Amino acid sequence: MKTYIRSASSVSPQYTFGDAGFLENIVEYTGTRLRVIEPDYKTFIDPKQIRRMSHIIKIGVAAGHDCLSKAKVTMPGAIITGTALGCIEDTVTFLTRIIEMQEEMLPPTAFIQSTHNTVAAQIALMLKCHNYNNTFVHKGVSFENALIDSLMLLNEGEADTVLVGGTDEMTDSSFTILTRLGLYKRKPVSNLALFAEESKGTIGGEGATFFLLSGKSSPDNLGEFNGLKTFYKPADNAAIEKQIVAFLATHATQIDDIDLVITGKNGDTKNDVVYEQVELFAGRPQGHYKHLCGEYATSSSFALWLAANCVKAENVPDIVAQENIQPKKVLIYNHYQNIYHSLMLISAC
Amino acid sequence: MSTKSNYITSNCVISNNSVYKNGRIVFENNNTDLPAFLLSVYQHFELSYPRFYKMDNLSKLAWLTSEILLKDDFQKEKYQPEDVGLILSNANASLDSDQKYLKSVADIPSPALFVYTLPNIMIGEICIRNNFKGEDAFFVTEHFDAVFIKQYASSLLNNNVMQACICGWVDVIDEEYKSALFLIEKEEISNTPFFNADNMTQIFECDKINKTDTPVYIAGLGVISAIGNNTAECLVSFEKEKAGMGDITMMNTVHKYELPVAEVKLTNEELAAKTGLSPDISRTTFLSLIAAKEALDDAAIPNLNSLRVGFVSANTVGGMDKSEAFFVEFIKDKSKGKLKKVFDHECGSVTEMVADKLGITDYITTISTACSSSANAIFYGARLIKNGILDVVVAGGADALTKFTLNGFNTLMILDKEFCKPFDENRQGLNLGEGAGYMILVSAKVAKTLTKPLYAKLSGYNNSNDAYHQTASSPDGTGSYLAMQGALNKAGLTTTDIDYINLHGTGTPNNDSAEGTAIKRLFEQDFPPMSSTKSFTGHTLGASGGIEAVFSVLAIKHGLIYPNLRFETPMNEVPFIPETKFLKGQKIKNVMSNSFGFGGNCTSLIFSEI
Repeated sequence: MKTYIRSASSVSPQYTFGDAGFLENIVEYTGTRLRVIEPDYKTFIDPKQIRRMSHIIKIGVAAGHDCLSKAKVTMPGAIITGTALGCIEDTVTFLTRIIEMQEEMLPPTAFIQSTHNTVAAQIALMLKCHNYNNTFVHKGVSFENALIDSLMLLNEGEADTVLVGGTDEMTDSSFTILTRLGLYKRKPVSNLALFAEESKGTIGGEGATFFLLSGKSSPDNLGEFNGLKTFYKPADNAAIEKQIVAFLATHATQIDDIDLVITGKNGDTKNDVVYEQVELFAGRPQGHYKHLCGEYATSSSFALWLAANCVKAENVPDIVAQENIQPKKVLIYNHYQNIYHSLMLISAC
Repeated sequence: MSTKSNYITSNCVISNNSVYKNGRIVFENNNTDLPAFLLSVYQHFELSYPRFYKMDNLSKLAWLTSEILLKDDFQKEKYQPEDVGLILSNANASLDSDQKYLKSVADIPSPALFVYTLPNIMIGEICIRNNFKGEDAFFVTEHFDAVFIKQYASSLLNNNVMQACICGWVDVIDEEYKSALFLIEKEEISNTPFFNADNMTQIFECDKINKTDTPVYIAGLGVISAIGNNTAECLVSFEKEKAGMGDITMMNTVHKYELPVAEVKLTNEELAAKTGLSPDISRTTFLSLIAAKEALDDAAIPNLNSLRVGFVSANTVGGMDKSEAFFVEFIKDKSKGKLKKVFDHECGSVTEMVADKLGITDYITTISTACSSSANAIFYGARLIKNGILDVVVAGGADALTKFTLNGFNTLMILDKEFCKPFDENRQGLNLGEGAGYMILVSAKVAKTLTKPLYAKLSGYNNSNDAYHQTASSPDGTGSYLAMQGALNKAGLTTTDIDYINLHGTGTPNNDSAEGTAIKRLFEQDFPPMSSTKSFTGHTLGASGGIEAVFSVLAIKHGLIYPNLRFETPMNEVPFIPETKFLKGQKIKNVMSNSFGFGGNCTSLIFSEI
């Protein structure tokens, strides 16, 4: 059966949310950390609740809400999220209080909202949606796993629409720790020049991106979601090429049918060489996205937002790829620290 | 009002290019549009009725469904023409033909099409064919309303307005269509289902179940908890009615001696020695590996390397025990704290390390939905098999005790300072525990290659959301009710089929009240034995669904019902009490296992004997 992307909504470091258009005004950042552009939450969330909600809950609820209203769907058949670190702000807040207050007189709110399924739960609560609700927390393929669950639900006939999203927030603590772990560049860099010079490290990012998937064809659909595949710790380049060819074959597609490959290049030499060594991609139009949203474990949700908008608009923004392409079929290839790899295929309806 | 029983003596569903007769697919023809599909059904069943060609799609669908419904299952000679009535319903009336008619009148009005702009014409077509002259009615409802159709038909049958009835749903709009017809008679014919709304709904949804309706079997079990380091040890503790709670010994916390917990009785050093892992990693990883390994060894699947194997594991706080130590240094000075301690903070890290140790690479994922996490992992694993993605899945979850969760639940004031008393009127809260529980799920194909007997099958499952509050359960247990009801529907079972319920039963006033109310509403009066094994293991959070699923399967295998320890006073709001004795030699065919978590996340699993 076919799966369609009815709508998509992204809270990201770029103007992507609501009716902002398709990457019309690109935001330049200098540094090694991109922060999302905050939507006006009052439109979606009761102001009393806004104060209690942590950042990830707010961006997740806003993106989920906007996605549903774009799809004109009031009650999704399921709500599924992917997040690597979950509600890390509330987690660190509660952890810090335990230590500082020596386990006495702690307020419960941060603990209550620290569970990884809080975003999916808050969306269900606001919609009074009693349907299937799940959250995947598996590092660089958290969002991909949420998609696999969504496709199975549609295939089983358990849901006719699925609201699925990837969310991760960057907090000061996580940024400090990840910087100490050597993930980011040593010197401040312009995100728009991220690929100009290859060096060690990338730039950190965050975001919340949701999709409404459905089995029903409609002129309003952004595109068709042909399928996805994840693979773990490939032995070498040949193993990666083999996975890509096999994935395309499953969907009766050859590399020549692909108008655009969106890769997860992030400016880190060791990371990017993986994409550069894929011979299948040599000489073909390639686009990149991590200079727009930064690197984070569920950034592939931003890539899917990008691909869906490209096939709908039959246009690829210059900031993504230089070539003049009217894409009908887009392949996304992303890997996370060369451990978790994922492929997604999207085509015009 | 009469309460006579009627029976569904035949049923037929046509949907998704498939024809289902009495729950089984009898014809499929994919890749055609609706008119071509309907014609192929007509031809396949060798029907001969020239009027068919004149009908619109709605009448064709209704007529074909009635033909297949009545074929071989209806003794027409038993009834007078006036005895048989029809009650049909749909959402779109005759809109499909109305639109076509509207288009056609732009040129020349077609009387042939005009007659089909009344939806009840389809009833006429069935009556003409079969010479039925009884009562008929047609209703338009947004969705198939089993309760309403059941009531309407029952009242006509029970008041002898009719002796037999064809009722149901026939809807067509463009390429979307579905029909479901039920033949209702007053006499039971060998094990036919009762005519009630639940059975109708289940039949109505047979198209959903059938598509991926391959059984998933349980071939191996593994568990570690405060009452034992493996399945055998846990069973001994159950029989001895020996709980695992005691003072905190493994964590340095101000709540030591104040709050009892259920610790696994091995230190990190002992766990490291047992697993061959470094003693510096998260305790959750040790627990996960021990139970997952036990389950895999137990299943002893030959040629595992040639199969597609997955690891679906759950936990709620990942490597939090190590992160706690890191943050003590880090909050004083952001450049301090050993990075090694925080490197595996993520939930996914625990799963990944265990998968690597088990040699699983085909598919690895982690689910985290608070206290229902590992129940969700188990049925997600089963669905990966049903959808043909994997052959074998190691599914379950793990969580170690941490200061984070201990203090978290303490701030909510739901920790009992004594040993917990689930489902007791005077219950004061839960005791936290730790552990891991995994099961090996295999496809039917793999099951055939095993030399060891299988334990059971996962027959039903459902996740529903309470959508009431981030942490508290709704007073009537909406989410729990929907999860239990959904799992029963999935399994094709009714409440009377359940022989034992392994309760979520945390011992908090709120949970047990909501869960108890939901059980009272769903099971009405026929309550099976039930107990909360958290009275032994404490609440192991992300591990609880896995651990309790293992206990549920062992209950089927060995004919056991576990006692609910420390129960004294029945709850005022529910008319049942939990089982308080360890019972052996029971006939346990179907066990329901409940797991409910923060965020309203409610999951019920049903395991059944093979």
